[in-house]
Amino acid sequence: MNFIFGEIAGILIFFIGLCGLMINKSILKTIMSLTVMESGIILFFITINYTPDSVPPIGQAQEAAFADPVPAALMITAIVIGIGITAIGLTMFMHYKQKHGITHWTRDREQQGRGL
Amino acid sequence: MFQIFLMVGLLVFACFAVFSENIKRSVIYLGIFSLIMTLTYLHYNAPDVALAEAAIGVGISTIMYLVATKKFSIYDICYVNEDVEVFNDESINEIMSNVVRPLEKFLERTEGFEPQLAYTNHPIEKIMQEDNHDFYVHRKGNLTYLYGNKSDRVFQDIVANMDKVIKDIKDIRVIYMDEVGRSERDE
Amino acid sequence: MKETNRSINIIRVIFMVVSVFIVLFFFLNYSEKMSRPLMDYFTAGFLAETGAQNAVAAIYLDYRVFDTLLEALMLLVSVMEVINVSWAHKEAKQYSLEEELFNRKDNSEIVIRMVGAIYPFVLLIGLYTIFNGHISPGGGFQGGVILATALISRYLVYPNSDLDLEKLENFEKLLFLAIVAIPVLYIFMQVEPFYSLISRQFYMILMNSLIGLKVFSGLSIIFYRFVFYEGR
Repeated sequence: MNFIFGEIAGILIFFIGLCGLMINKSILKTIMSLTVMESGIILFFITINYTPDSVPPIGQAQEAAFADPVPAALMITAIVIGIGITAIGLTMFMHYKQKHGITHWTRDREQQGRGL
Repeated sequence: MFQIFLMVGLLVFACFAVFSENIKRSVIYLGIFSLIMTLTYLHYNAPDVALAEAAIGVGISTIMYLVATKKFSIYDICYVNEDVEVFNDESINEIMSNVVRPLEKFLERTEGFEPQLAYTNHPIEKIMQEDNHDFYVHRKGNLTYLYGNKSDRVFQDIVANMDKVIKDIKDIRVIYMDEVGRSERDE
Repeated sequence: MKETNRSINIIRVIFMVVSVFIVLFFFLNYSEKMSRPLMDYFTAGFLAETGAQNAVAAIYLDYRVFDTLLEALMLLVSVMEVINVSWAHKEAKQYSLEEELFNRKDNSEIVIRMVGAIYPFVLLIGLYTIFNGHISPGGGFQGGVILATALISRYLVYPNSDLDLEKLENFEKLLFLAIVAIPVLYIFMQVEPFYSLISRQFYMILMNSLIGLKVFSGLSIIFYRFVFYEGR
């Protein structure tokens, strides 16, 4: 069986991020978990069509096969959108902290407003 | 072999970044995770994506997290001692073992964040007017004054657990800055 | 309270482990290898058709321009969101440092000198990444982000908000208009004086520099809003 490690690692990283999204109570840790999930998806896409003896798709060398350029071109866009998502999340977090003193998702009054 | 090394590093640092207790350490682990991710993309023949991840994940995103945590998580402590001429290593070590280290441990255990420290030997009235710290430790002769706001919950916690936090110094007075009446108490 | 939290967390972890095993099982056993017609089509003659030696740049600037357009729109929307959600619009003056206050801040001399020495090289590598995006790894997004990093290092040396963010935002909107307009002229309507490799490469460099400037202005707006406008 010739499976690629990258795809399995991508799935595992995605589920690690999802687990952190469910367990963590702090809003900042939630945003970080989103970033980790997104990295897992990008890794899965990059390695989905990988063959071991290929070269990066630059130039016109024909002695070896090209790596697949399609997921790379799609994932560059995904990375730039990810930084936009992070910026929006951090802005909304700052706004809520300033206006309502909310730092955690929980309703426990004792935890709110105490650091992070 | 290199592939297995990269994958194990990715999984370990993803776990560290997601399940770590401390926010700042989590940010740094996320940066290391992005760095290993860059190597992985390079190994899988995608240099464009590797360049984008190196610039965005390691550079901009880490700085944005650090700005956000700096604005909202640090508890700002200022240590004032007017008698000391210059703060050399000896006096800083003494302060560290007496006041600062136990305070840091207490804050880290109960709140989960680290305090930020500043030492000065300027007079305290001037500092209170010019800078805006959360918490002042003022040493004057044998007496130690703690200044803080009554509405501050963290300060209330520190005052309530005073005998557990600072054991070496006996004579401590607490002054609430927002109450002009100056409720003082001996510990 | 603590006990219920812990038991719920254990249930969540068990749920995650079970779902990981289910997904891995189906992925390893029932996934099929497909042929790759898109990749064969894109890598067959991208140099002759688009004039780019980098296949990734050929895809996101020529074959699939819609992706790039919508991505630029997405970044513009996120910048507008960052500006409009933040409530502290009127208090911007409060955070700008005065000159003597700036001198009194204990900025490290070593950091200032080293950043001043590195600064032109960071600008240089950013511009290199943008202008050589079509023949080497790189492109508009990466070069724009490196330029934004150079601006952040400038903030370390001179932490003052003398940047006109309104003008920068208008500039970014104008750049987005240009990014939408130029591929419509070049790719869809084929309005070009003579079709040759050089004109195609000129189009690549123009689009890469426009995208780089747009990403640079967007990220620097986000960073300066974060530093000066938000917070206490």
